[in-house]
Order: sequence, then C-alpha cells, then structure tokens
Amino acid sequence: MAALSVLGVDTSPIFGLIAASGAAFAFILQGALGNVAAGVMLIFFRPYKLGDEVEIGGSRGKVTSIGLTATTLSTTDNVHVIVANGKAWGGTIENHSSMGARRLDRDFSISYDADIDKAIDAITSTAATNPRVHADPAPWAKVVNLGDSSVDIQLRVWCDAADYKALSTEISQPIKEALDAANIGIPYPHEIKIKQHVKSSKGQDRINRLKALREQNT
Amino acid sequence: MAAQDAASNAAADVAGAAGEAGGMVTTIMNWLTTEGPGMAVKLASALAIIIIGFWIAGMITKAVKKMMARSPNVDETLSNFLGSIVSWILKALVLITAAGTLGIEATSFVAILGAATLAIGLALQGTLGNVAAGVMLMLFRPYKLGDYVEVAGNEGVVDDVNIFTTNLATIDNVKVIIANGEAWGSTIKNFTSLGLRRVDVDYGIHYDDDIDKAIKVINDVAAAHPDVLSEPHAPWAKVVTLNESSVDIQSRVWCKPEHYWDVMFDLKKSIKEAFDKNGITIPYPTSIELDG
Repeated sequence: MAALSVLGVDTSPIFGLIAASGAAFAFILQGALGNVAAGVMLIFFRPYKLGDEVEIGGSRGKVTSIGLTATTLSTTDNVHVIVANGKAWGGTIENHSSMGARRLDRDFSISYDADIDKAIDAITSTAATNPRVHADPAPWAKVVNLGDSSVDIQLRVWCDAADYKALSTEISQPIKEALDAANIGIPYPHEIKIKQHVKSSKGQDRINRLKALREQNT
Repeated sequence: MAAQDAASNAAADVAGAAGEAGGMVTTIMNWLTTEGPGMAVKLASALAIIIIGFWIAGMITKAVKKMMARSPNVDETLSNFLGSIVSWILKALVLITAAGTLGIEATSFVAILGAATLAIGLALQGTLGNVAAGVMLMLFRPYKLGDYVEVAGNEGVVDDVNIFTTNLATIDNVKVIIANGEAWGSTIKNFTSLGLRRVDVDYGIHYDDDIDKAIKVINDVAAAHPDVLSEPHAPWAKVVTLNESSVDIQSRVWCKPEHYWDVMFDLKKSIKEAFDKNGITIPYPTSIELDG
C-alpha cells in the first residue's frame, strides 16, 4: 500500500474497500462483537468478580476469569465451563457470594402425634450450637406444611456465604439425633388400609375370575 | 524488395522493443537514484517509529497498570482490561503515524473508523435494548425498591433498578441480576403493590368429622391471630374439595403483605393444635382392601 502511494496511485478507494468489507465483517462477527460489548459491561458493572460463586447462562460455579469475550467458571466437580459474555449479561445472573450472608433452609418432618413446640425447640437449639450459624438473625423454625404423613417444620439459619455449602452438609445429622433424643419420630409414609368384605355381585364376579385365572396359571 | 522490406521492418521492431525495455529500465534506475534514497529514509524512519513507538506504548501501558494497581478501587480484572485498551489505542496511533511518514494520509483511516463504529453499534444492540427497557421500567414503575416481586421467573426483594439491570435479593439472600430487556419483556408479578394479600391454606379433615365444627375452629383460630385483618373480609372457610381420603376445607384470611408468611405458618401450627384439642383428625391417606 505504501509502495502504491509512493508510485502515485490514489489509495483512498482501497481504504474505502476495506471500510466496506469492514461493515460486512461487522455483520458477520455481530455475535462475537456482542460478546465483547457484554464483556465491557461486565467489567464496568461488576455483577460478579473473581472467586464469586455464580450461576450464569444456566451454569453454576466459581468465577476463575472474566475475559473480553467469555467468563470461565470452575464447577464444584472441577469442570471448566466457558460462558460467552453475551449469554451472561443478556440473561439472569445469580451471585451467591456478593451478599455476604446467606440463609439456609431445611425441612424436617415430624410425626402428627409429636409435640410441635418441643420439636421446634430441639431443631432451633441444635442448629444454634453449630459455630457457622449466625446468632443474629437467630435460627427460625415454623410449621410450613401439614403433609400426608407428617408435620413439616422448616428451619432457617443464617451463615456466611462462604460457609453455606459446608453448613448444608452438617446441619441435618445433629438435628436428627436431637429429635431422636427428644423422642420425636420422623415418620415413614403412612397409609391406612381398611379391609372390607365384598358384598356386591360385581366385585365378587371379578374376584372369582381372578381366582380362576390364578389356578389356570399354576 | 518486398522480402527485404519485411526483414528490415522486423529488425527495426526488435530494435524498437529493445529500446523500449531499455527505456523502462532507465526509468526505474532513474527513479531509484532520485527517489530511492528518500524512499529508503522513509522506510527506515517508519520502521524506527514503529519500534520506538511500540516500546514507548509498552512503557505507558505498564505505568498505567502500575498506577491502577496502587488504587484500592481498581481490581485486577479492571486494570488488565483498561491496560489492554490503552495498549491497543497507543499501538494504533503508532501505526497511523508510521503510515503517515510513508505518505498515506490519516484521513484514509477515518473510513475504517466508520466501519468500526458500525461494528460497535451492532455489538451494543442487545445492551441498548436493555437501556430502552430500563427507560420503560423507570416510566411505568411496575415495581419499586423494596417490593417483593417475581421477574423473569426469579422471586425476591427489589434491591436496585438501574438503566441496564434490575437486581433482586432472594429470600435466601442470593443476588439476582436480571437484564432489563428480560424483565420488561416477560411477566412481572408484584406481591407488594396492591397493599393487602390473601392467605389461602387447605386443611384436610376426616370424612367422619363434623364439618361445621372444623370450620368454626379454623375461623376462630384465624380471627385470634393479631396480624389477621377483619377488613376487607373476615376469615372465611368452606369445603372446597371432597378428596380421596379427606374433606378439604380452605381457609382464606387477609393480612398485610409483610405478614403473609408468618400468618400462613402460624395458622398451620395453631389450627393443627386446635384440631387435636377438638377431636378433629387430619387423616392419613386411606385405601380399602377388598376381600371376598
């Protein structure tokens, strides 16, 4: 190009051509450029930063890098996930780290015959002994559902966002033990069966037919 | 004669061609002797500009990054990003200057800049759509800060509405950032803005129990709760389903939005306890086994 302009050839049409093909490239690369634009937004608005636990574009993991075109996550089972920035910025971003404290909810089912107040007391006082559980707001437990076979009590405790996963795996066992100690049963599914002698001829016919079939087979 | 003429013509042609070629060579030689040294100087200076320019650009970029690293407000991601932008701009300037010394006018690059603008416009299309939706959200106010809402399938308290996004805090304190385009383009449920909420809960009682007594127990317990309102409607309960193993009575009570969950959970507990006291049973699933 430099040589051409030295030789006196007018180079501006050539630049015009490059510009025009640039427009075409802009159309072709629209998606990629959109990712770059989204990357710029992510860098300025900071919905998440390195090390945050997030869910973007349907993938959950820890942010390991925020690039111009893509954000990379590492999942808990150590899969490397690369999410295009356009998908992250254009959709819903869940940040599990940025609020500092998190609430952990866990349901415990107790028998219909058990004393609800005693159970709530056992659940909240046991939860409070875990050092990860915050004292303020204090552990909360209430009846949330009158189920088929059980009264369901929900426990809500607050903890540091970083402790959430650890706490979720260690909260249930001591509470189960506390409920056992307080003699509060966690019931199996119940079903009441009423035995009824068949009187109607229609039902009797059917039973006879089934009996005949069974004899035939043996 | 004619043959001789032809031969001499051919000879003259060959001589002419040789002369022409010789002329071309002389022109190039002339150009090289007159313009060559100037051209070599130009090339050398352009090369020098590129080398020195890139070196200086690198230094400036490093200095900028160092400066940002010292500032507590700027973290690694941002400083890397801004550093690379500074680096690219400086390198582009160096290349344009180098091209200028070779005699290419800077105006030619304006055309390329035009194409780049188009590209940037296309790239920002989605983001600008969000801005438009953000303006709609500001004008029409389907929700305001502190409202409990469901936006694009996410429930939470509205934490921030800005020009690009709506931020919610869910009940278990996850921060949800929703692009305004998605928020405005889908269904928005606002659980706060209408003022009062109705709490509906179904209670299943045994088929042999006294329905009127059960309804009275439900309404009495509901009316006794301090957060249950008698306006716009007093607590209401009626049989809504004759279910497989139970007669289902629905209780409907009104309360303020902030009391919704407390009222629901408190009533479930106290109504179950009141049923126990009054001999009303919540049955287990029941089936009949035929024998014959």
